[in-house]
Amino acid sequence: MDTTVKQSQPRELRDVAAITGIGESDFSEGGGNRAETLIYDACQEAINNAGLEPQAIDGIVTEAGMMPDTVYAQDLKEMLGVQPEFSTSSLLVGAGNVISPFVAVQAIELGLADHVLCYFGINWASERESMGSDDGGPYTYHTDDEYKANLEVPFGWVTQPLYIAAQARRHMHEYGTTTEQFGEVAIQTRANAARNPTATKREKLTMGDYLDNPVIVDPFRILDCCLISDGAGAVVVSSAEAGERGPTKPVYIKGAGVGTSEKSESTYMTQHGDYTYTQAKKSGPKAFEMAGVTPADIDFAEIYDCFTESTIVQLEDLGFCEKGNGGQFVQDRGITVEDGDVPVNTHGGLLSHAYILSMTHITEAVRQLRGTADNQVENAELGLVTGWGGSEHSTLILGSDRS
Amino acid sequence: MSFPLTEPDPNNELVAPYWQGFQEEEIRLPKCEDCSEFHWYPRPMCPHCQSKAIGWEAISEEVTLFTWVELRYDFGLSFLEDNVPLYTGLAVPDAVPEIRLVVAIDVDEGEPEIGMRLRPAFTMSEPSQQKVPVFRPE
Repeated sequence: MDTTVKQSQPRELRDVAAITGIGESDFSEGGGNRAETLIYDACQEAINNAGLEPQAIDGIVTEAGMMPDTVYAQDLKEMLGVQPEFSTSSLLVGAGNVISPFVAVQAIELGLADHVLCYFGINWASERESMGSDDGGPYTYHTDDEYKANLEVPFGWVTQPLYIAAQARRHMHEYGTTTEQFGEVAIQTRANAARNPTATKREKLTMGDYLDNPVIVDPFRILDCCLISDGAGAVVVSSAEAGERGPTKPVYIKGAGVGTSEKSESTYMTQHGDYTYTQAKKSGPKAFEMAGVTPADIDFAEIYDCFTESTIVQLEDLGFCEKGNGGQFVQDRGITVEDGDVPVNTHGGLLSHAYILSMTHITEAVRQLRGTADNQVENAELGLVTGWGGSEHSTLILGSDRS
Repeated sequence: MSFPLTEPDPNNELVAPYWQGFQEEEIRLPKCEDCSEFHWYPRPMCPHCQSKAIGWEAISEEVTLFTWVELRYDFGLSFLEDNVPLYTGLAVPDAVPEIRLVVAIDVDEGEPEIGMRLRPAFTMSEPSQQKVPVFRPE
């Protein structure tokens, strides 16, 4: 068997399905929310938005890292009345949320389902409030992993901000990226959030505010890091034809790609080969090829901005600028809807809207392409969404019209 | 700060040999007995040739600093509370340049620098009663 050339070519899936419904919960920084309640809210809204009865939902796709252990697809049957015969998990967390709609496309194309619900929700803000950092929220991930607990944490290598601050230091060293360029990402993302009423953080920032903000893991300040939030998002994916008969404008799934490293979840952050890159360098080209477009065609991008530097690196890896020039790109050309050449994270992203691991990057992209966003990009026809989890990265390209 | 910030699991047979090496003031890494390649992190099977015959071998202590951070905030984690600020980083061993070790760093003055040559000092830790490598400039 000749395995040297990859035979599979999924590009004939362009435009066969569309996002026909979106839903969101309220977003907050705590207050005792349960993740499943937030998810039920988002799912109900998405199903209504698609003009469907719950019984019409015959497929469910979630990411594979958190939902299988927290809010099971089976729970939705009892609580919402959906009747999925097709149900699966995709990739890890953010990478999963962004590729789940494309898994739905495959299920629809194969005739396994007509209307597929993709959902994600989280209550890390409330969890951290009630349980403390040792027992709840984002950091238990490190002490639960036998490799991290024995080979990293004892030497002070712990927390997600530290992982990416270390990458940021190397990016500064190799390419001359500056603290002020990280600051530009924080400030401009916040400027987008200021125009979106659902964003958790809406007060505009100046460079002075950024530079005065406490350094928590040098070179990162608090403002370089995403929020910790409660919230949920959901989308319904249906065939393009069904979408065109529905009550809202369908948003077509034009391209999708997955990038995965040779390393595992445990080893990726310290051992992956091209240290100053993300796997967007692999997922991006696949998505562009399937959609038949280039970065120059993209009207806006919703990028997995877990940290300011992550926006810069993914803009480079996706081909919006040359490798190493991402900081300069943000500084010179801008990423705000108001003034930027390429608006990025139009809703405020993980940095200022809410940390819903890219599920609400998708719902925002759909609003932009329907023309109903609060911080609307004029004449938006093509949008790009990315998600990242461990050693996996996904890129999704959505469009307002069929090619 | 006082390393280790958390105690390693002495019963975890995958990782315990790394810590046993420290007690004899050595940096030991897992090495395949069939293909003679080192790998990192420790795995039950060689990722290069899938052999399950894995031994541990001491390597030279010289490393080059690849990247570093200064952790200043405790994130509400009890084991960080009395231990920040601290320097930690990734270092590339001369003997196995394909991998990176997570290293605790101590500098007498100034900050660490990428490219800095480091060597471990094995210091006895209270209360864990075991030796832990802290890397210092050569």
